[in-house]
This record gives sequence, C-alpha cells and structure tokens, in this order.
Amino acid sequence: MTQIEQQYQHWDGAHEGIWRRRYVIARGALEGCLKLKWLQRLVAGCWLAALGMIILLFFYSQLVDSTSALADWMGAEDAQLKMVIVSLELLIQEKPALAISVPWNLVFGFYALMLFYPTMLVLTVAVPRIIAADLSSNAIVVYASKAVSRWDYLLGKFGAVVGLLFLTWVGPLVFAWLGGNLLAPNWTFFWHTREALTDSLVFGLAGLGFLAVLALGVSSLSANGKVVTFAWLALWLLGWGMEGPAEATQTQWLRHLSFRYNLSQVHTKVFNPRETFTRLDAFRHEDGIESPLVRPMRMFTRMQNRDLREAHRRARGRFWREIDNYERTFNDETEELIEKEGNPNRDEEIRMERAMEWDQKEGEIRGKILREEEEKILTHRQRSFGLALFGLGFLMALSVGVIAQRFRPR
Amino acid sequence: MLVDAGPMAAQHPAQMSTPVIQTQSLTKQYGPQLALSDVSLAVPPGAVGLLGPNGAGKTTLIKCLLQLVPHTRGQAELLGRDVTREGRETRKRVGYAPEQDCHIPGMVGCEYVTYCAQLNGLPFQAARQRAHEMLDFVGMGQERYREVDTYSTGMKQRVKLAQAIVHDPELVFLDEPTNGLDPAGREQILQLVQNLWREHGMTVVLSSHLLHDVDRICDQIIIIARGQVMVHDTLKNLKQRKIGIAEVVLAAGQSELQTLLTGEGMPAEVLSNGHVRVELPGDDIAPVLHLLHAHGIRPLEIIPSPNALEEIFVQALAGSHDAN
Repeated sequence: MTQIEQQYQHWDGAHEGIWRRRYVIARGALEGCLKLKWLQRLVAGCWLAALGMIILLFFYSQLVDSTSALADWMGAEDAQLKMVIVSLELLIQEKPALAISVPWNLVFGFYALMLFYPTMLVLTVAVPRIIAADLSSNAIVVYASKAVSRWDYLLGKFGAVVGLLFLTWVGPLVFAWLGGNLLAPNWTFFWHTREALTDSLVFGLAGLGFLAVLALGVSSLSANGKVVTFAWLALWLLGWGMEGPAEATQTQWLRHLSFRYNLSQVHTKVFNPRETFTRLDAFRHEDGIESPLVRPMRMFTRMQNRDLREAHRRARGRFWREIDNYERTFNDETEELIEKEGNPNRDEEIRMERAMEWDQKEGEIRGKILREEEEKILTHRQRSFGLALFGLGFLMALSVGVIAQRFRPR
Repeated sequence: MLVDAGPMAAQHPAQMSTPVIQTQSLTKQYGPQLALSDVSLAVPPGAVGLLGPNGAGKTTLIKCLLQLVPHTRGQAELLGRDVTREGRETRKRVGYAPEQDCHIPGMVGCEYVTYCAQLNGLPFQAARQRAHEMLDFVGMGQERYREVDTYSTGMKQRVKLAQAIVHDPELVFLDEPTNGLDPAGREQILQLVQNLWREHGMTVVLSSHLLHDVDRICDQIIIIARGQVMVHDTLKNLKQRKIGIAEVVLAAGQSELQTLLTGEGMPAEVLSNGHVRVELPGDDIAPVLHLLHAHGIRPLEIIPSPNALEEIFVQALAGSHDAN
C-alpha cells in the first residue's frame, strides 16, 4: 500500500477554459459514436461519394479543355466529339458563368440533397448514443458533478452532432468542391463555381443546424435507446410516407408534416434551380436560334424544372377549359361587327380578318395563362417555403422544449 | 481507538478555521416530500462521516451541495463559494463518487478517468498522466485498458474513486464507496480514503450507513435523519459523551478480572471475543485503571466506549422519531 500511496501527487497546473471543456464533451461523444462499425461505413460512403463527384467534375473539366490528354484521346477517336469539345471550350471562354457555374450548381444541388439520406441513416445509429446513453448509464451524474453546467453539456453534445453531420454532409460537399476545382484546368473555376459552394454551405449548414437540434431533442426523449431510435425513425419515415398521399390529394399542410419535404423546400429556395434553368433557356434561344450544343439540355431542362413543368401542365389544362369561352365571346363580337357593318359583301372579309386576329389572340391567351400560372407557382413556392420554415421551426421548438424539460433543474 | 484530526489538519490551522462546507437553512422538497429540512452546517476540513439510515437525506444533501439538484430554500457554500452562483467554478475543486454506477458506455477505464479530468479543466497530457497515477493509487492494474462496462463491482468502485480525485480536489464526496466490495477490497479503499485526508490534506465526506467504516476513518460525524441534522461534532467529543462503558483486552484471566470488577461495584461480563466489558462508575475509567494496577494485571488494550458511535446513532434516530 505504501508504495501505491507515494504515487499520489498534487496537481497545480493551470485549468483550461470552458470552451475547451465543451470541446472535450463534443469530441468524446463524437469518438464514442464513431466507434460503431456501421457508422464508420456510412461516413466512409459519404466521402467516397464525394470522391466520385470529384472524378465526375474532373472529367467534365478535362472535357472542356481541348488541350487536355482526355480531350485529345477522345477527340482522336471521334472527330464530331472533338468538335463538341472545342465548342464547349469556346463556350467556357465566352460564357464561363453558364458553362461552368450551371453544371456545378446542378450537380451540387443534387448531391447536397442526396447526402441527406446517408446523413439520416447516420443519425438513426447515433441518436441513441448522444444523450439517451448518458441517461441510461447515469453518466449524466458524472457530467453534472464536473466543472461543466447543463448548458455546457448540451453545447458539447450539440457540437458532437454538428461534427457528425459535418462528416456526412457539409464536409464531403466542401471536399468535392475543392477537389473538383483543384483538378480543373484553370483557376477561374474557383471563381465561377463559388455559387455552388455558397449554396451548398447555406443549405448544408441550415440542414445541419436543424437536424442537430432535432437529434438532441429526440435523444433526450428517453433513457431507452430503442425508444429513441423508434421515435427518430417514426418522425422521419412517417412524415416521408405522408408526402405521397398529400401530393395525391393536394393537401399542402400534410406535406409540411414531413421535415424531409420542408428541407427540400429550403433546398429549392437556396439552389434556385428555376433561375439556373431560366439562364439555360435564355441561352438556348439567344439570337432566336437554338444552339445545337445545348439542344439535349432542353429535355433535361423540362424534366428537371418542376416549376416550369407544373406551370405548363396547369396552363394547358386551363387553356383548354377556358378557350371555348374566349372563342364564344370572340365569335359573338365578330357577329356584332358584321351586323354593325350591315354589308353582306364584307361578311366573308370580316370573318377572315377576325380568324387571323383569333390566331394571334389565341397565342396571347396561351401566353397570358402560362404567365399567370407561372406567377401562381411562384406565389405557391413562396408560401410553401414559408410553411416549410414554419414546420422546421415548430419541430425545432418542440425539440428545445423536450431538452428543456429533460434538463430542467428539479 | 480515538481518531484525531491527523497530521494534515495540524499543518493547516488556517484551513481549520474556514469551513469547507457551510449551509444555512438548506431545504429541499420533492413535491410534498421534504428531503432536507433547514439544514445548517459549518464543516471544517477533515474526514467527515455522513451517517444516516436509507432515505435520511444524505445523498440529497450531497446533490444539493454539488448542485446536481437545486435546493428549494436556504444557502450553501463549498470552499467559500456560493454553489448556486458559482457552481461550475466550485465543482472544479470538488470531487464526487456517486453510489450508483455512472460510467460512460464504451469507454475504457483510463480513457474514462482522463475524460473526467479533462471535464474539470486539466489539459490532455496532464489529464492522462494523472489518470494513470490515480488508477495506480486506487490499485487498478491492466484492467484499466478494459471497458468499464465489463468491470466487477470492486473495480467500478475503484474507478469511481479515481475519477473523483483525478483533478486533485480540495474536497471529495464519497457516497457509499465500499458498497459491494469484498473485505480485502473494502480495507484497501478505506485506507486510501483515510490517507486522502491524513497524508494529502483532502477533505473527505464519506456518506455511509456502515458505522464501522465511518468510525475507523472519520474525525467528524454528521448524522442525518428524516432530512434533518441530528448530530454534528467531532468523533472525539461524541465518544467522550458516551464514556460509560469500556472493554479490557487481556491475554488471560478474564474471569478473574470480571470477579474483581464486580466485587468493586463495577458490573462486568466476558464477551464472546474474550474482551471484558465493564460499566464505569460516573463515566470515569480511573477506578478500573487503579484496580488493574493494584492487582498487577497488564491489559493488552483498553477500549473506551467501543460502541459509542452505534449508541449515538441509535439515540439520534430515536430523537428524530420523537421530534416527528
């Protein structure tokens, strides 16, 4: 015993600050989660996807550089392809914002949304280990007896979830952007793709903040890990499952019960694919000639631009419903004109003039309806974004309430 | 067997004058249940035994002092700082080993103790070094590299003690630290706890319902019953109050001594352990000593008031029943 006792030494060093202690909690929780094999695999999957993105962007950037080895090799096989490559390079020189930023925006928009799913899986595994495990093992007493407050503990745990989400969501996005640009043929790519980065960061950080608070709330629900996992899955999958019936019945509020849908609305707002496609459309019809280079994009544009597609669909339906009334009124007006003229010899002439007028008017009506429908869609999008923010805010408030209830001094 | 304050207490007279724990009308209510009722204490540094039956309020008092639960009324100070306003700073200088298991799942022993040190503000290198020192101190070997979840009860008690003292606190609360330990382990832990105060000057508050443990290592006693402090004094003073009985340990001739003592008007009996138990006239041991001297009897040991703590404890509990 004496030998052991001699090993006790007093410690008189300087204590570290509170932010360091919060960091220790965050790192401890993050390391605890990352010990799980499944979680490691999911995180690795996200980074592999980022690597895939870098390869994709590398190929694209090499393709638009006619001096690159890849372009040389591909052009040697096919003269037509060589032409496309040269055209793309010219396009980048003339309109870099379009040729670089549009594809990057689209790709990063898609990738940012896709990473949501592995992120949710990661959280499903991690959520019971964030707070619930501390509650069930009484580790919470250890934290409470140390030089950290409840608030410090929660901040540390929040940091752990943020770190985890950074590993699965924001990190791979930034990595893909950096990698893609570093392998690009020139440094201007950094400048022209800044929008893809800022949009990814804004959406990623917004989603990260929301999911971190939600995860903390769900993890505080119970000391039982199974209950917590079930609650998390129910919150995610039930909401997601309700999106289908909500779309079928056009019940807007029902859609907003799904935080996945709400986050997708934020995504739409941030990445604004409508604006991107409008830029593409404007370029396609520049000088009244549709560029053959971007012709294949038309189909892609139509397919991807949901807003435009929806507006066209509605406008078509409304046009066929309303055109009869317009035509009837127009015909009545024609008859009145003929009657007013009172000259039977001019009847046919008037009818011909009116028919030509009608063709023009029909086009005008079609355009007017389309514009109105597009306006409606925009208004609807705006309202939907507001409702999405409300839905996300409500869930966050609920989470904060659960956390406050759990950590309320009793 | 009287316990004095120890060499450290003698080395720090200034500390003796400043209470490490001070409470004023500290009250804690859980709904209609009164867990602590107007507890007022001023505890100087030392080895303090916190005694009381199950549910008396010992753990609640510790939790209130550490702000694990907020108190309903009153004031509490630890090491001269208000626990409500400066809880975090206070806990930097205080350690706590709770009664129940409280490890962090998936962490190995040395990692856990290092983590606890870091939570108290020690830099990583220092935390790791001290974690190993403390694990050595509590007698943990290679088990420190195993997950705490896999530890036996004894190992868990040791690791709890290590995490409580890893940041070198001035005051440490140990809630039933010998629960679930075998006699050898219990002995070792008690000796470690005793040395924390005696050798290293760390004030120890030992909450227990095992009177023998407290009797052995503490120099101050606080007895709590039904949320109230029934007794708070040094063990020495308490024993002096209960000096009516002594035990004489002899190598041989117990029956003869019994006859002699009875003959002098001091009722005596030979106990099953061979000790001669004698009731002293007027709480004074001098007549017994005179008698032994007169008959040339050389005792191995004289134990004054051997069960004093037990008697005081029972008396305090009876007092609390009467009061309620």
